[in-house]
Amino acid sequence: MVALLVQGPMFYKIAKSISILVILVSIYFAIAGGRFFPFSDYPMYRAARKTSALAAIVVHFEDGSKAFAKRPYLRPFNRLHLHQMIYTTSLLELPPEEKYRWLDFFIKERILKYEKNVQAVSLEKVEFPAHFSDDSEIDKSVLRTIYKRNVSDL
Amino acid sequence: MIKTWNTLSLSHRAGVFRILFFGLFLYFIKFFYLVSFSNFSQMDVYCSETMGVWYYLDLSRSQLSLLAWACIIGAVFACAGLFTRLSYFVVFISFLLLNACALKYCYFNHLYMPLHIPLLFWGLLDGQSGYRLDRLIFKTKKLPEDEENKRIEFFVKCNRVFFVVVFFATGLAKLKTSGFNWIFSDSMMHMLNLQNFASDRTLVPDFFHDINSWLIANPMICIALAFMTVFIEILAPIALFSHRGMKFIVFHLVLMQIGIYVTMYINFFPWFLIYLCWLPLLKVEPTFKVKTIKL
Repeated sequence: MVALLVQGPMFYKIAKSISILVILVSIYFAIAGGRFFPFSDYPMYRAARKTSALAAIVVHFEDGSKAFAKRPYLRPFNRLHLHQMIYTTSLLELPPEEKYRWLDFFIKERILKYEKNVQAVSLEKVEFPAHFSDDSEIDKSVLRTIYKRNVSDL
Repeated sequence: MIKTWNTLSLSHRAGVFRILFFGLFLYFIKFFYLVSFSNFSQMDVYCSETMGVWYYLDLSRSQLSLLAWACIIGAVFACAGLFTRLSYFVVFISFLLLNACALKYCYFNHLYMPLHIPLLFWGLLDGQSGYRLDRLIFKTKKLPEDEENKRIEFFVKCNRVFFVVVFFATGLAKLKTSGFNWIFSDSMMHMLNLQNFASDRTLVPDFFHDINSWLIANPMICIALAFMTVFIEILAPIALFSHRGMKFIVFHLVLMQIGIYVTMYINFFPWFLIYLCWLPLLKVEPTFKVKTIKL
């Protein structure tokens, strides 16, 4: 009975019409844009490809040293996702503590689990190409501090 | 062997297509990775505000796990042709829910985004592909060969039109958002540079970085690559009309995506599933015939 229903000419006619409709809708979205086909059009690229500056997370230690956020801190994101996060949240009309509330998640769930003696974590605007594996280059690369969160305030 | 291959009916060829599609689907999806995204449930505020996700879909870790297993088992059944139609829909629905749930966590969905609609086409349109256990176990009746071939051709053509729409949309999106600046500015150079910022160097072979650095040092080559990218994407619809165009466009799109992996370290491997509908083994002619007028 079920086999008849899904193999029968009526099912096929309906399925065919739905398929044509799906294709027409995808053509509409292809032309109209939007999030349906966002390839190559991510906000992170839109902003970043026009300038030579990016946003990055920097960890400040109690002894005064600094380090760029490393991959284990960010998983499953990468640094570019973080740039996107900082960039897009910076556009929100909210007080900084509200805008960058997600940073607390990274500090508590990631950075403090991997690092000891962390004093603060900051969001910095940096110039690229920056040597993100070489922490001695931080002071040369940082253009401006966007937001700084002391670990003692968490 | 070749003779046997050539005598295969379209239905059996579609069966090979099905086995390849769902076999590779199982290989490419990394559901355990996907399930790990449930750890990020605390980030809802950020996600809804910045990613433009308008819906609320927050599944627990065990629910995501269940969906992931349903998808995996469905794909195995679809590959073997057991409860085929049901398996197609199980894969389609579970995969859609998993991705809709993950969309708010990360942009990694660029890998899977174009797979949903081909999965829907399998569920709606494929009742004829060969090499199914269903036919052995339930002894289901076959349709007349002509009708079967018509249905398979329509199914393959739908996949091809969707393929073309996806690439045409990417080309158009570039021109719509940035115009010719996408090609004739430092945009491509910046994007190549950005990828060094995104990931650690250890994730890809060293020579990928060497190629990336060489390209950044040659802005004219970056402009040429940007031009070729937009050119080939905008011309994608040609693949539907002529055999030569089909070979040219599909081959260059494959090259483009391999090039993106080598120079920008972005892996588009799951997209190769949507290329399968162009395989010569299907022996389906270009989707639309253009009538030529002889003068």
